[in-house]
Amino acid sequence: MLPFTFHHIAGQELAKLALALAAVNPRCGGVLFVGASGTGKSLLALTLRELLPSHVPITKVPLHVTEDAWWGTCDLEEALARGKEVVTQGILERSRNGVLFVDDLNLLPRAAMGILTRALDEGNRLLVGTANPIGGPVHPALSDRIGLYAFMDDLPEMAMRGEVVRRHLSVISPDGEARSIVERARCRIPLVRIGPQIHTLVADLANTHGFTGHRGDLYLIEAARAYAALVGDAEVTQEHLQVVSPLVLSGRIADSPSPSDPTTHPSPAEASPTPQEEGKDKQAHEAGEPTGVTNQIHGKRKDEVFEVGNAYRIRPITFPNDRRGQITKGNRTPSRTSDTRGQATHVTPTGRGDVALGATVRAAAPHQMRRGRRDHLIIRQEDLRFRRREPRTGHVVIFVTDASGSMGVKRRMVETKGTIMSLLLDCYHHREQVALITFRRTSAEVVLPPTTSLILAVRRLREIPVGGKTPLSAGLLEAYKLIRAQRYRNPTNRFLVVLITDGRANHSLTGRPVMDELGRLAQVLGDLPHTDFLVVDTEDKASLLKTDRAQRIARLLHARYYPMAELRHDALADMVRTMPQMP
Amino acid sequence: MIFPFTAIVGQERMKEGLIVNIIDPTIGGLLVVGERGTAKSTAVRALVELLPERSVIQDCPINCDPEGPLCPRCKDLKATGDPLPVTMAKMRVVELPLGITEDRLVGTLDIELALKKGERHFSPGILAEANRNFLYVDEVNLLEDYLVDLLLDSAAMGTNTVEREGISYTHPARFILVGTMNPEEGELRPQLLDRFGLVVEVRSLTDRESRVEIIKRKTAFDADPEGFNALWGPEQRRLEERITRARALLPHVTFSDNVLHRIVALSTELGIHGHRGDIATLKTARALAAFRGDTAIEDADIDAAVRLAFPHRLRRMPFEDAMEAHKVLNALLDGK
Repeated sequence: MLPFTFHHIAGQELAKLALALAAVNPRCGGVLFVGASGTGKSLLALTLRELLPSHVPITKVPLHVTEDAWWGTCDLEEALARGKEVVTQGILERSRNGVLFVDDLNLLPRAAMGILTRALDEGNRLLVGTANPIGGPVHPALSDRIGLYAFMDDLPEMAMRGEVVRRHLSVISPDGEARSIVERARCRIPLVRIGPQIHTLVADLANTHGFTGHRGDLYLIEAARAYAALVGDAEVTQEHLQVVSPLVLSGRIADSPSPSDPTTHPSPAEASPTPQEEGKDKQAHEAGEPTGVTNQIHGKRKDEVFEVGNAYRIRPITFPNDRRGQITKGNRTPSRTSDTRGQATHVTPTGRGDVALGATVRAAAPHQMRRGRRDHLIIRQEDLRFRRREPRTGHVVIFVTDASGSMGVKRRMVETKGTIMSLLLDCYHHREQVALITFRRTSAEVVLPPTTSLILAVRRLREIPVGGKTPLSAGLLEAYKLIRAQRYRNPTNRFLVVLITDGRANHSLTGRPVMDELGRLAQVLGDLPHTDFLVVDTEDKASLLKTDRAQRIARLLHARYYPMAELRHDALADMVRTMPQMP
Repeated sequence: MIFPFTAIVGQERMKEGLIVNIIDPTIGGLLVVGERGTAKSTAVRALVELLPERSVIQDCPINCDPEGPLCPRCKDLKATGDPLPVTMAKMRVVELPLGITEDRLVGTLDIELALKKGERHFSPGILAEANRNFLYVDEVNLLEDYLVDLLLDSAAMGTNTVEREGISYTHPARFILVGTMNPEEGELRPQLLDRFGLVVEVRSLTDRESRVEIIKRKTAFDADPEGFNALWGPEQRRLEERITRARALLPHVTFSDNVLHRIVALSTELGIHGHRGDIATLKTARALAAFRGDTAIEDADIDAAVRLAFPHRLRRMPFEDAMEAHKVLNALLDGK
């Protein structure tokens, strides 16, 4: 038994409500509990057992779930004993009409995510998951299929909301009764009426909040229906909708595709920025998610948005192979992986370590009669098959872009954007992931979390506004946080930080002298494994006022350094390859 | 229970793109591009109910066409001189899940037979199942590279060849490739993009009436799937019959040289490379004419076909949005 029960977990009323709603009406689209470690999210999620009828199966999905585990696998012993294929039940079979529980949903590998989304589309499974923001956002295809989001450490809002919910949910307080209350609500669900005015209200809500697609609309309806059933009302009212809407909205506003484009996606923060929303924004920031809302709040002051200048071919830039000899299929640092993580792509008769059991048995199978098998499979050396794996992702190139006022002088930003565009195209050809961080005024933000989508990257690039001071250390710090979060997700990733600046850093985070602060930060960044730095200096080198400070910053970072004009591909380009390797 | 195709609100071009592929399976499939939650998967999965029957060789796991090409099993059968047992079977939508292994995709050794008799026989994979069916890949842009390579190989050859574990086996693999993707989640490899005969873009419907209608229909379906399907039954059957008639009419649709000239003029003006686009346009226009119940292609059919067959073949930098492509196309078509 669990040491905690549904009623013992302090506070977190909204999160509990989310769980109760999902238990009452699986069409709510499941629940994701988002919170740092130690906020009790997994414990709370697992108290679902107390709410659901005992016959409903709850199936845990381990992060390193294999394909066999999903679909069931050939039971080798049985197969050999009976001489025919015997398949054990997989997760998909066992979870039908039940619950799929995934801890750290945001760390689920791509392949597993694909199978999971497909399983959810069948409509007969309830997803309950947890996510720690440090691991990054949940993949959009999956997050769109989650109805309710409960932020565990959203305390100020919780306390306030908690009161509201407590009043409505006083029915749930006596110990041990939770299951029967949920059971009664489950029976009432089909009888709850929903009037046309609620439909209209939901449609308007979805439009004003810029929902992508139509799933959110349905989750709002179903959550309100569940709530009405829970409190024993026969018809969904506007009040029901109000109580449940934060659970649906909080997951969808954060991931609306282009919050900085208010014409198509008006965000509620734009109308009335509240302290809570700013708080959430900060959270998302730490999780490495796009923080367009901040962008909008600042965006009201005078900013300039420059167009993207002409793109050109970038000179080849390579970096030394890393020390551990386990890298990726990206092109900048070729080498082979010896790791057992990652997607198994091929099975080969040569290799060592990771034996591919199925393939080995298949290789041995035709010889069994001849080898005189009785009750054990006779496997010889030549039957052995090995998995060759390739890491799921390769390089992540993080552009840290100076968007301070000085970049706007003489339309310098037009050319700079052209250069970034050229670099983005280069990354596209190398099939690398890109991320975009900008810094200006007094802070930095991740405007694009790592993605392989060039379309998205170019869109964000176009939108970058310019204005204000130069908080260069904030930009680097943001890159540091992003790399930390990414490494947590996929330790085999390799990073290239491309700092694009004129070097005129003039805003310190700590109050220390700017260059001093940068020096210290450079040391911290230098300790990051598998990370290289490239500084692109946008300063006008023909100007008498040039400072060459970007070059000094490059030295601090032990970075490759190019003035912007020298990035173009030319006859001298191959020089880079013969340059001595960086320590 | 599947949500009925005809009950999907809006997204007419996507529906059209799917329907023409049923009418003429040689058009080359469809890629549906758009944001999440816009009924992409719902539409593809709902196709099942509209698919026609075609004749197959009985008990063939590869659904061989009695007219050929045949798989090794059916070839052996034919070699005996007996008439091939033929039966009618409905086309299907076979799904290729992202996490699939190479074994499951191309097929592998039949372990049961190997253990029992010590014989090597082929156990068919998804590509075998997909022969003469729709092959659906959701989030096709996230498919692992080595799977894309396998898929491209068999799409190009129309066959699947397996050489592994002492098995050597080739069978026909002619499928209608249908993919869905959200471009914000990653780019599609150009070679794979080029394989799709047609491309449509879908977006969320933002007018209040459509949004409300979607909510109403989906909640009604969830509350009572049988009742909902019964309600939409007549509409579904009308569409099914219309498709069947169009399939029968297709070989009788004729086109003049003017039709060809118009298509070639458009593709030249737009700088479309290769001839796949022209052919896909012609076939789509023909299917659209048949769908209208007509035996002659009209200009409107060509315009509609061009909008489906050209957007992904415009000569452009890879980063230019599909939007831009549509603008160019629309400007050109509206100018004519």
